[in-house]
Amino acid sequence: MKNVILLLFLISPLNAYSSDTDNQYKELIEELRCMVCQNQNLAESEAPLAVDMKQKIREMLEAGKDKNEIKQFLSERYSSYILYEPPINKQNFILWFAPFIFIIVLSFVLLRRYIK
Amino acid sequence: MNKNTFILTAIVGLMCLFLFKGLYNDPKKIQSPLIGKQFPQFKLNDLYLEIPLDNTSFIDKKTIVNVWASWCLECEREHSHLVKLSRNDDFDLVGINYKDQKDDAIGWLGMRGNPYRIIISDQSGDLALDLGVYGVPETYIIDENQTILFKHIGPINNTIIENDMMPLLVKNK
Repeated sequence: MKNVILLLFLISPLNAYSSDTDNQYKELIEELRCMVCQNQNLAESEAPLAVDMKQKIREMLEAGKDKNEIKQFLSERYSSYILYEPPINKQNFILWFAPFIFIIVLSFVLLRRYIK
Repeated sequence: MNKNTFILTAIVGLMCLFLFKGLYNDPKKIQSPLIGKQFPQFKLNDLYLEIPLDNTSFIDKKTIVNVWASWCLECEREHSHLVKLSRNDDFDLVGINYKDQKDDAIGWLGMRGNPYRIIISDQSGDLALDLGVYGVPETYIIDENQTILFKHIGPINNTIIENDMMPLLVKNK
């Protein structure tokens, strides 16, 4: 009897559901920050707000929205802080390019010293 | 001091200053991207009367929108300020009851007084999600055209009311 139930579960359409939507959902909740517990992503967090957001993301995916649309939707409301990978814009310029500026300045200084 | 040492000292000094300042930054204070945008569209019930409310329920005045819940301890701290603000007729005060039980919310206000003209009951948290709410209490100011002018996360106090909110509320009188 147990085996039959197990078999029913295995062939049930619920399992077949684990498809594209599910993968997108998993990727998204890994890449989004929980605003309440700020050093966790949504996947790790069980805070009430995170649960709501996951629900919302699931609904939006089922409504046919893609990952970028959902990210945009959430960052329009919660600021780009919610994205673990911040967008490149005027405000974040330093964040993205400081390492390169640093390397350029440093190599310039070293080069000058070397030539001397 | 030779030139290179000077430059190096300057860079390290600046970095120290930058990092030191970072120690005192509050990571909870995030500028809302909604400032300057329209108040989101909603269709929810009134907490007491259970009649539908929507964006037309706001009146033609500057409005303080306060998100609160009976389970929220910090809301208790700011409540007396809201009661005081509700006595001023220059602006309107609307509450959003966030993820709460109706009876708890009404009981809570029964004990402490209801400063709000109307209370939007947001049991599912949908409107709050549209507003980017993540730390109750939150306080917004919207103008007559329902443009969001101001957002504060956490309980309001005298300093915030006097310095940040009042200038927005009684301007252009």
